[in-house]
Amino acid sequence: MKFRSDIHNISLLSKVAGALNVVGKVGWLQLSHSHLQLRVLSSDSSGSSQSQVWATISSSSIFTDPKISSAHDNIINLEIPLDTLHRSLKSAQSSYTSASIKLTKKEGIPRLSIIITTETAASMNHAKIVQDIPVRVLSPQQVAHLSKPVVPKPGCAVILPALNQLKGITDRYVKMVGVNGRIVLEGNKNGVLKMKLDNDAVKVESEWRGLMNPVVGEDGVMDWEDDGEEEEEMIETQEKERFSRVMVDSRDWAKVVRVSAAGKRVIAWLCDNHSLVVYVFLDEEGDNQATINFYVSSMVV
Amino acid sequence: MSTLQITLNPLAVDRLHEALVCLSKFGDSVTLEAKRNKLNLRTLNPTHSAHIVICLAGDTFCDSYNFVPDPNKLSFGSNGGSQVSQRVDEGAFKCKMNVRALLPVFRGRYVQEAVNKERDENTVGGIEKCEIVLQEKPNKGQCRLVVKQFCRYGIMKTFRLQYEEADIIYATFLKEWGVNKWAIRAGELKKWMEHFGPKTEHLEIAPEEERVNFTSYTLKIIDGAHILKTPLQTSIELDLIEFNEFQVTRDTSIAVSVKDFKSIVTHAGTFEHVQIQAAYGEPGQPMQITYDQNGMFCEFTLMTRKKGAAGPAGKAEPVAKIMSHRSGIPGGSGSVVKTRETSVVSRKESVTPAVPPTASAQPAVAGKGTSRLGSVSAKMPPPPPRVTPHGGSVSVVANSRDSPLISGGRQPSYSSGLRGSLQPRQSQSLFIMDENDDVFGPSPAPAGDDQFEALLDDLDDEDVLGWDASLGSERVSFVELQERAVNADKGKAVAEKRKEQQEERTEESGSYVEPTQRKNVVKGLFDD
Repeated sequence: MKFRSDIHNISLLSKVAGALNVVGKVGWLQLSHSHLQLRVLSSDSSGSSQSQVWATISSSSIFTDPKISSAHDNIINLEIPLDTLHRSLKSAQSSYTSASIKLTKKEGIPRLSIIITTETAASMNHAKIVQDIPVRVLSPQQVAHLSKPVVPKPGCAVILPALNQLKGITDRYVKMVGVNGRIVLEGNKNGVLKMKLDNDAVKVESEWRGLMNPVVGEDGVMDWEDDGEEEEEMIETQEKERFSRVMVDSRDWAKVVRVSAAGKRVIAWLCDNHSLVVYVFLDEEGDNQATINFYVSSMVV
Repeated sequence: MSTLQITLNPLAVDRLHEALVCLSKFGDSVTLEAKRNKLNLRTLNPTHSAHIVICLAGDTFCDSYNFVPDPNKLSFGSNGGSQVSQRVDEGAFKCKMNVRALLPVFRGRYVQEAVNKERDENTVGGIEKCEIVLQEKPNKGQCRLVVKQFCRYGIMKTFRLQYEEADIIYATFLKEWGVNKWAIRAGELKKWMEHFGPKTEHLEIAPEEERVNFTSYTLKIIDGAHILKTPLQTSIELDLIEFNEFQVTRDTSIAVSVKDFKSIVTHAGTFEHVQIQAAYGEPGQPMQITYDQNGMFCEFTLMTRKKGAAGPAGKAEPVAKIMSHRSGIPGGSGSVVKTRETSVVSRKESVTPAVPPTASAQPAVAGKGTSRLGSVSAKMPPPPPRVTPHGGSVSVVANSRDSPLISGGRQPSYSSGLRGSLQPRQSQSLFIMDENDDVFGPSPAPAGDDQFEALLDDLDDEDVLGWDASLGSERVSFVELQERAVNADKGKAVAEKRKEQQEERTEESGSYVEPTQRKNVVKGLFDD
């Protein structure tokens, strides 16, 4: 098992690690020739809500000339502490002249070593920084059962409103409803998104209008169960006004919003009473080079 | 009653706050020591592996500084002005406060957030002047340190702070220990230190040819289940050109606590264009880091260790424990001193003969002082039973806690816990495979492990901290010896004090500080 590569985009990797660090402590990193995938399960142990985050970055948008080999289709699966990964990248991302990454073993512990050379301000000489992140190598059997969740076709896909505004409002909602409160999201194909909370003490509702409704599936490979073709005729006005509704844990929603802040464009899919899927595009162009998918299951009313 | 009146300008308040923040990272309490021309802030960390003195010069740091010692405590008060003026330390006022109580008093909220640290007072908002006055009225039970902040628009904030009587704890750093020196701009070093993660424990500073390696490592043994909790291991390789000065003996690599080192560098980084100077000897001897600017002199004495000198995983390092011990060398030998003295002396100590403490509290003599004081120490009377300082609970506790370790449990305690302590180079040669090696494949591991074990064994053998922790009854605290000596011969003590004055100057000029034990002596003498 071998992996080494030059990194040409530390900030992208750092951004992904930082975003996922919001969700959980340990991530599953899959390295292959074509892509780098990082998955995190929400660290919520209560089991009241489930969420998963999958970040997929094409290998070429981070690595230069990666060399990867393993006995299993040249795919390497690692468990990696996200805070450590994020930290080691963050400190270097501002000023590096070159960076590389490799899988090593030091003191009996497998490590992902990030080697950064940087020019010093004083002498313009090179200083070398090595960050050794402990990892655990996972066997293919250990990860065989892990796959992206399958969701039904969303009732509504909507581009989220300005994220800093959304974050401010969400934070206030979370304060009002507490960490395990419930927040309802409703959206329709007319560009309306509603955020509601309704508990014993308080009832609040926010509404955004004029949001864009991207065509489902346009922006990425998204798996959903296809349940017929009746969808085709639903472009009537009445149908456009119909709201799709999900109810999520307030803390999960807060995490979604924080993770979304890493993206340039964020699309939320509301799968009626089933799940909320947020598609975060990290690239300016919104292509699929680097995306984060955030799956949150909707709570049953 | 002592009189203490200090006036600070807003900028000095800000810097005082930064200094307190730095101190608070080491310990909970700060000891204030007011002398005729300066105010010392001291903190010793709980494991006694780091001692900090921040000295605020009365004339340069403070706008005005006035300290008049308690006349009752001046034993030679009638001996004429010239002599009195030389005794700078005489009747120093000492008190201890919780550093967290002080922090909000001087907090930068009076000062605009350090947008720019220009010396322009216009940038400083809110506070206009700060006055610190000591109100010592023991009879009325009203001893307070009163801090008055004069703010804009005529607002005055008054803080009456309680304090408790304190003993001064000194750290010894002998000049000859500082054979290895380097100096670097604080800003640079701070930038490098930012790469180190928060959880790492130790920082090794190892010179190589033309390069210096700063490597963090942990001594914790990480078992398989928690492998991902292994702290980030960071290594930074710098060219010697980055240093303003670098004179380190070949192969002298030492390790200090990352957290302490980082706290120091962070504080130094708050100054502009400050140069950090480090001086140290062999691993196991203390390292002294100093810097100063505009009347603030900062001196940190840190315990060092050899890389691989490990304690049991997850526990406080033995280095620290040993350090806390009143360490020393056999009286009179004055040669190999691999100890550091952190002695506690109180006024009462010299007055009140008390119960002999546990064996571990048997102190010894620090080397250099002994040699310099040759004539005095030669005449020293037999060591008295160790006195338990009245307020010196720190040392008492530490000693009792440390005693088992000191008295021979040391070596065994290192025998484990070396797993994570290999030097990076060695480990590289062992474990970092070439591209063609399959790191996680079956083949290379066993051989590597054997070598690894062998290496561990080697390290075990070398793993001797240079502490003279033996507790023979012939050993006695240097301080006590001096006290005795001085008591026996006051004339010598006066001569001694002159020397000390010189040291004082050295200290203030920012270079290293001589062992300061003799100040204690003088105090002990004159406070009687």
